[in-house]
Amino acid sequence: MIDKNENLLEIHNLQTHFFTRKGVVKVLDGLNLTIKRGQIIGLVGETGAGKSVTGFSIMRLVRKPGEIVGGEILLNGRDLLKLTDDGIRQMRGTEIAMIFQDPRAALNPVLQVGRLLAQVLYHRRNMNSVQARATALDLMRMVHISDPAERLNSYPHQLSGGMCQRISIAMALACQPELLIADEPTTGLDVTVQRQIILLLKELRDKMGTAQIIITHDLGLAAELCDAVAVMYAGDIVEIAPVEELFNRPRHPYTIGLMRSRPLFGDRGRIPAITGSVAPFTQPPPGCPFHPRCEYAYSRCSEHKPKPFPVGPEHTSQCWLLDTAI
Amino acid sequence: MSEEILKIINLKKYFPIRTGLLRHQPLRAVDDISFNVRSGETVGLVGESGSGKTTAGLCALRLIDPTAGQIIFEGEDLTRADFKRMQVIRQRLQIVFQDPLDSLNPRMTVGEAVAEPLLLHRVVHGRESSERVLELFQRVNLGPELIGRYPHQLSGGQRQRVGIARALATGPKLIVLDEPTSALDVSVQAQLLNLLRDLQVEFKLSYIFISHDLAVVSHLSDRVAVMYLGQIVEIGPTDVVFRNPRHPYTMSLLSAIPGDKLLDERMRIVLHGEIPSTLNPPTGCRFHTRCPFTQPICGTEPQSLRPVEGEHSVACNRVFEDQVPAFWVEGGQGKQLIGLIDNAQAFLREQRQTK
Repeated sequence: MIDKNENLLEIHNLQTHFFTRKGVVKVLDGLNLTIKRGQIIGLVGETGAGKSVTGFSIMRLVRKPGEIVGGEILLNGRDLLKLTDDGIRQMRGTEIAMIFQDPRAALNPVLQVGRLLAQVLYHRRNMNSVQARATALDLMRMVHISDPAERLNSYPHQLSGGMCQRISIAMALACQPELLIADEPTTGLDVTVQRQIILLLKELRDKMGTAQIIITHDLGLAAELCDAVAVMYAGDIVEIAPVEELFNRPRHPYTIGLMRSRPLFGDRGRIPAITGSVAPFTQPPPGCPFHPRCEYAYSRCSEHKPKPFPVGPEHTSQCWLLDTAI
Repeated sequence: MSEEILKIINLKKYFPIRTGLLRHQPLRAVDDISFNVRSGETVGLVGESGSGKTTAGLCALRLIDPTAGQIIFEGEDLTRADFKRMQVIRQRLQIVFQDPLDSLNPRMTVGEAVAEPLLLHRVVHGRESSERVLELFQRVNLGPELIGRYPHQLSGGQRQRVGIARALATGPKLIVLDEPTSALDVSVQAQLLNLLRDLQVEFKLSYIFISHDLAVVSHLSDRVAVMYLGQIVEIGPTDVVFRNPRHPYTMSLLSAIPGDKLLDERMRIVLHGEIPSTLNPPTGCRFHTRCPFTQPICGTEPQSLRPVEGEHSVACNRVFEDQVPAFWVEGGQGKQLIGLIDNAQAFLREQRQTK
């Protein structure tokens, strides 16, 4: 069985920079993250926090002008950044798979979904067409598509958003990867369909032990689905903790700000919103990236960037307020 | 009780869809809905995509012409107003769309976009318009330096503020807000919701707030109408409907919201399948194909809204009373979360003082 304490993926000091005409934009500059086998970890944050770039970096799908300039991404101890292009292509899909926010855009519109699934199976699992078709049917059943045999012949535009998301999950699972990266898997879907996708992702972990990185801006989704949550701001993980710990004892001002920004049922008062907006990546503020918006900021915050301070079991927060040394 | 500014009576909107060479079939986007909006009030329209909320909103302004029904705005039936009259009326009846990048002209600066309705409706003349634009920008908390920018140069939150400024320009009484915050980050969404509330008080505005996000709707709306396949299945004061929902569809929507850890998975009502097509809506109660409590009678007898208590009406032949686990615990999730946040803030303040 799966040893839950064994690390599946370790990211050390990952640096992904974008070389634009306006200068070098250091979107990720020293990111560290560890994922255990079968663990579901959430990357939460707002637009521009670097969540998706993290996902793309792990898949080595960062496109020009972006480039991974440093760090290590170890999958089962093997550094993905040292693999050849061929090696990485073999790894994608078979060991790590990714699904995207807009499932319809991610599926080839001129192929029937049965063919889409079968393609993965020919190329990755060397099946013949008969085997591939049978396996495609199994995969469609696994992601709970009704009338799977009939749906095999549908084109993506004939299916609803939720159904397309199921198909992309089925494609991602075709080779039973150990890690699934889901970039905003429920955004744009109706709540009732979101619920079905949440249940499906949970089921995959429970039945197949698929570790998952859930990239989302929805704290509610993270609270429900994830074992641990990493809150990202301006390319950095500012706080990370097991899910209950994070929601019961948030310790970073940004995490607290995010939690307060959600309108609550039955509360009609003013929402205490975080003021201002994220500084552009081209002009990062000195010191802690959050300090211009932080109500607790003091002199030190604008001078030096804080490091992660331990504040609880497996719980760290990058905030000078939590430095116990002074 | 304040007066009704808008009354929608038996509104229908059918779109003809080609199903064959010469055959057309009606798509019943909105199928016989009635509701009213009082002055200074916000009415929320919620439902899944395809439920007809946006179509209803567009019909209210007659941006699309309804197939049947009446729209009475300030005592005047809009379905009888001609084009010229509609133009005059639209000074008092405005709309804000979901993604302002699509609704703002990319070749106009945002200042010009806000000035356009002022000049079109002759609210001000020539040079005065720039002063008025500046005022409007200030009112929605946009810096004057943004007036000369183009929509693509602004952030999503700023663009949506421009959309609101433009809607405010002609001094409207009622604004239809069609998913105004769904493309925005939570912190920006919170700022905009606060702004919308301030503007409502300041200018005595009425809103029709269209959204699929129930928490956002509950925050802003006084009353809420839940739509399913072109019909209203439940309507009433927001607190009553969300705290004590009586229609299984409303219950399932509420229990589907991600994030309520307090909610036992067994208490959730999970809907299977997807919303059926409005081309061939189910017979009888339209929800019966997905309803977890469906009975044989539901497939044959269409349902219409019936009052339950006060202003709360439900279109269901069963009146649910405590048969379904209550998932709205009085102050439950909200109170508890606020408590946790307060604790965390107190902790940080303490740390701050020691530094």
